[in-house]
Formats: sequence, structure tokens, C-alpha cells
Amino acid sequence: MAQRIPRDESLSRVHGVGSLFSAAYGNVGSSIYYALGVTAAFALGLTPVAFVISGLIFAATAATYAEATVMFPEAGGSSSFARHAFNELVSFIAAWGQMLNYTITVAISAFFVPHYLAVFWPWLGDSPGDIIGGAVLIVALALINIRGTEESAKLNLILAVADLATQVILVGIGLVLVLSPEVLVDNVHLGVAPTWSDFLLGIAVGMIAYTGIETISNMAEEAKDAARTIPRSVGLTVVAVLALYLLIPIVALSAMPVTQDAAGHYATELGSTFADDPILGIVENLGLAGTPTEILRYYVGVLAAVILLIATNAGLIGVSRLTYSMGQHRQLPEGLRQVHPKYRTPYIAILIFAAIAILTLLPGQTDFLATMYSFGAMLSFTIAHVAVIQLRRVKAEAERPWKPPLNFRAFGFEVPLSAVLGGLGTFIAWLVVMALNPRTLVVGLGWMALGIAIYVLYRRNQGLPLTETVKVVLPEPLGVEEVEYRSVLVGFEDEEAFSPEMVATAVKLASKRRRGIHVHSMMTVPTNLPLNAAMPEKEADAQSKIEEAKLIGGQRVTGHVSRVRPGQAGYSVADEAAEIKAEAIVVGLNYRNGVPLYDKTLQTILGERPCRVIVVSDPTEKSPVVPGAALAEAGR
Amino acid sequence: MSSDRFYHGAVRAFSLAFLAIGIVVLVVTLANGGGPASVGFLLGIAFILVGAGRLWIGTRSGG
Repeated sequence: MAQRIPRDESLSRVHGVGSLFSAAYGNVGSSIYYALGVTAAFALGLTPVAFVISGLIFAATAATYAEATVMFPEAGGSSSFARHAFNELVSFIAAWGQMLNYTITVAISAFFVPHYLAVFWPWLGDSPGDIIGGAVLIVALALINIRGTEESAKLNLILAVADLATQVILVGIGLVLVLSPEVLVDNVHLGVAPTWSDFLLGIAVGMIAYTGIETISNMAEEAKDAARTIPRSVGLTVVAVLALYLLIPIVALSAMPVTQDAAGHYATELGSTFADDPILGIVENLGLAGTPTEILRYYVGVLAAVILLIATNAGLIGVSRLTYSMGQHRQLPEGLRQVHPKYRTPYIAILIFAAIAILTLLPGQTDFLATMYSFGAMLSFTIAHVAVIQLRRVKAEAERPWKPPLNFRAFGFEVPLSAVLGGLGTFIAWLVVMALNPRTLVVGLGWMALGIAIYVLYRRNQGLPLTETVKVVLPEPLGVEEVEYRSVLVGFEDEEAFSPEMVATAVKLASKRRRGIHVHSMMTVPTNLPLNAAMPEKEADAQSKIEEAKLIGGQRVTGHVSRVRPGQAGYSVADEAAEIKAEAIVVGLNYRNGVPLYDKTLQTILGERPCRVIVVSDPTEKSPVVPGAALAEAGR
Repeated sequence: MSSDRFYHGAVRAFSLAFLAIGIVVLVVTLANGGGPASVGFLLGIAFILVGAGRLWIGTRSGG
């Protein structure tokens, strides 16, 4: 595994329980900042019960994800499970539902950022300040994502810890100062406040509080000992989230009870005044003195805004990765998944889905966003549950490193009870969201119909079958089938164009156990300039090669930009390979007038060769004098 | 920190947190005059049972 211990740019690709848990909690834990208010608006005094019920559905869903992710440790979540269990069309439906989730995550997270920042600038807390703020944030992040960005695991870890600690502290203070079981009981007027239909909708909407479980699934390729670490991290996430999502609404509803107004309507400030910043509502109603409340307000405002900003960005990264994954499986037209000529990111898809996210937040109605999210998530989760049951049937003998408890035999195979109950729960929640919300029904089904139409037309147009998996053919390396390396370094010079063949070769070399690939993208700094001189264009170009490599190699590809002096590129590659203990170096063969050029960089690498060196030629520049010489290998 | 140590540490931390939360909820409920059939009392007992139970399982299995 290529690990860059001394530097900070690349992160370990070997995730244990700690980092998987922090990533998942960071993602799931961010949802409470918007889910609490919108759920309370529906479920009123039964909000804690709604969260418990949706939490149990979440626990069953998490178990389903853990089983299937351990079985197929690859990115894609429900879309990937559906591909293995059913066919490409079902996989597309799951993926398109996920795309809706990512888009709405972008919209809802961005919409709530201004509300929490309103502790500093109150005009952001009202319309149109919140809508404008959210839209500007989406545009800014979309542009950043087009240039290429990556999540920082360290920042995620810090935020997850801060988030967890803050929520525990708020719960602790709340339990001591405001908890009132009497008030909690008085809050409930069964069948009236909330009405049964609102309570059911509250459960379905409450599921948005548990968004983000796909995070672990998407990190599965990087997990160390997936059979142990994934179930454990999923388990810890479920326990932490279930406990906090029970206690936070209990504290909130003790502090902001359900009251009846003059017109006879029941409401809680949690679902009205503080619907758009519920955690700030808790802070303001904890009964603390003025100064501590003010300090806590500013702290929670900043923390929530940062967490939601990261969640917005994670949504856009999700759009980007999902577009690539769907493109790889020929589920989306080329036009939609077209990559930027310079930054090598799927900019058309980012722009389109960012625009859709902005459109959905323009009305400024969080309940619409919440029910739309619930629509997409429940559909995806239901497909995941059904896929796991189907896999138990059609691949009964396949190795399952982890299975949830409580299985029973029926119809000739072992059925997972968690998937059955979880699937029923998510399916019923999906129906409830549609039945009780005509607008969500129309827009949600319209979204799915649009996606399926695009898929069918595209596949027909390409002469591809609708239900079979057809992958984009990546350039196949030659002559390396029998060799596998624990870590591979790919070196790019700055005047060298990005070569998919080089990355494909590295992926093949490191394929069998999902080993690491590190891209060493160099930019040459002239000797008349200091080594740290600002060279934004060159830097962006070097960074874009790393991003494009990630599009081909997935999450196990890391990379960093290295500044070198003229003529030092070969030494830089050799030093880097030694530093990260790479077992193979992949470099490109340059050509001049169709003739291979064994330039100084290549000669230096071959001369130094700290490990095996694989030289890859670009087929489009293949020289007539070396027919078929797509790859040469120099042993140590 | 190894994955195993993190996991077992986290399980212990969660168990203790559950125990502490249960005790706080129980004390607050009783201080406010809640009886054995009140929501707070039952919730407190439930948290204490879950926390203590998981600690006990961890002690038995050495985890």
C-alpha cells in the first residue's frame, strides 16, 4: 500500500473502524441540523417516537448495507447491490434515486447554512437571504468541484468529533436543566396533534436524519479488513445516532413544548420559529444565562454552518462520483458525463445537478426538500433491501464475510429478517411520502420517469441491451496479467499529457487485492523562480491529472502535486517511490515524430529504479518501428 | 490506535455514556416528582439497562 507518511497531501487508504465511523457519523450527524425542525413540524410531540421508528428502519438498513458492502466492497451502494442481484435497469433506478438524494442533499444543506450563519448576519435567516445565500453557496461549490476538490479525512474526523461532542454536551445540559417527562407526555394529543397522517409523514421525513449511511459503502474499497471494520463501524454509528436522535428531540420538546394557539392549532417552536435552525432553538431555550447562551449560539452557528457546508460539498462530490460510475456502466449519455478538457471533472453533470439543486431550493420550502429527499432515499433503500434478499436466494453459496443476526429459512433459502423489516419499512415510508404529498408524488415520479426515459433512449440509441451490464472499455494493459504489486506509483511530468493507459496499467498491476495507486504529478519550476513561486495554471494542470486518475482508478487512487527543478523529474519519481515504498513505477513513453524518445527523465528512473519500472506507450502515438510495443518492463 | 482498541474503547465509552444518561434522566425525573410509571423513569431505566448490559457483555467476552 502506497503510504505517504511524511507529508500531508495524501491520506492513508487503509481505513479502520475509527475513520469509517467518523466519516459515517460526520455525514449522518450533519442531518440533525435540518431534520429535527422539519420532522417536528409534522410529528409534534411524537417527534422522539418518529425518530425511534425511523431509527429502527435505519438500523435495519445499515445491517443490509453492511452485509452487501462486505460482500461487494465497491462504491455504488444500492446501485451496486442491485446490479449483482438483478440487472442493469434496476441498478440504474437505484442510482437515479441516489442522484436525487445527492441533489437534494446539496439543496437542503446549502439552504440551512445561511440560517445558522444568521447568528452573525440576521438577514440571512429570512427569505430571500437564505435562498440567495444557499444558491450562491451551491454555485461557488460547483465551480470549486469543477476545478477538482477532494474531501479531507482529517477535517471530517475533527468535525465529526466536534459534532458528536457538541450534541452530547447539549443533551447533557438539556437533560439536567430542561428535561420534563410531564411536558413530554402533555405534548402528545393522540390523533389530534399530531394527526395520524402527519405522524406517518413525520416518520418518513424523519428518515432524512439518518442520511449518509452510504458513506461507509462508498469507502469500502479503502477499508482495512472490511469483514470486521465495516460491521463494527456501522454498529457504532447506529448506536450513537439512535441514542442522540432519541435524546435531542426529547430535550428540544421539553424546552419548546407543543402549545395550542387561539385558533386551536397545535405547534411547537421547534417546528415553526426554529424550523430552519432547530439546534439553535435548543441552545436558546436551554435556560442558561445570557452570556453562556450567546457563546453557545455563536459556537453552534459556526459548527453547524461548517458541517452543512461540508455536507453540501459531499453532495456535489457524490454527484461527480455517481456520474462517473453511471458513465462507466453506460447508464448516462456521453454529453451528460463529459469531462472538462482542462480539469477532467464531469462539469456538465455538476452544473446541471447544481442548477437542479438551486431550482428546488428557490421556493424556500424545507418540507418539500425533505419529502423529496425521503422519496429518493426510501426508493434506494428499498432496492438495497430487496437486492440483499435476492442475493441470498440467487447467490446462496457465495461467501458472506458478515451477516446480520436474526435470519430464518423460507422459500428454500435463508432470509435476513432485518432486510425484510427494513424493506417493508422503507417501502411503506416511500408510499406514505407519495400518498400524503401530491407535489412530491408528481415531482418524484417525474424525476424517475425522466431518468428512465433518458436511460432507455440512450441505450437504444447506442444499440445496447436495457438489462445487461455494459462497461466502458478501459485501455487494457499488456503483459502484466500475472503480476500484482502492493503499491504502484504513477509519474506524470508537467508537459506530459494525461494518459489513461498509464492509470489503467497501474490499476491492473494493483488490482487483485485493491492495492493503492499514488499519482506523482510534477510541475517544473524554472531555476530563476523560487520553488514555491505561484504558478496557478501549472498547479491546476498537475492537479487535474490526479483528478482524472481518480475517475479511472476510484477511491484507492491518491496523489499529490510535486514541484521539481528542470531535469530533476526522474530523481523526484525515484525518490517518491522509495519514500512511499512503492513496488512498481508506471511512467509514460514520450514520442517525437512517431519515434519513441528515451528522454532524461526515463533514463534517470531506469537508472535509479528503486523498484520495478513499467513503461507505457500511448497507442495513438505508436511508432511504426515498434509495432505492438505497448508496454515494456524493466526489472530491478 | 488499532482498529480493535478503538472499537472496544468506543463500545465502553458508549456504554458508560448510556449509563450516565440513564442515571441523569432517572434523577431528574424523580426530582421533578415523576413516579415509576412516568416516561422519564422508564427511559432512565432503559438507558441504564442498555449501558450496564453492554458493559457486562464486554467484560464477559473480554471486549
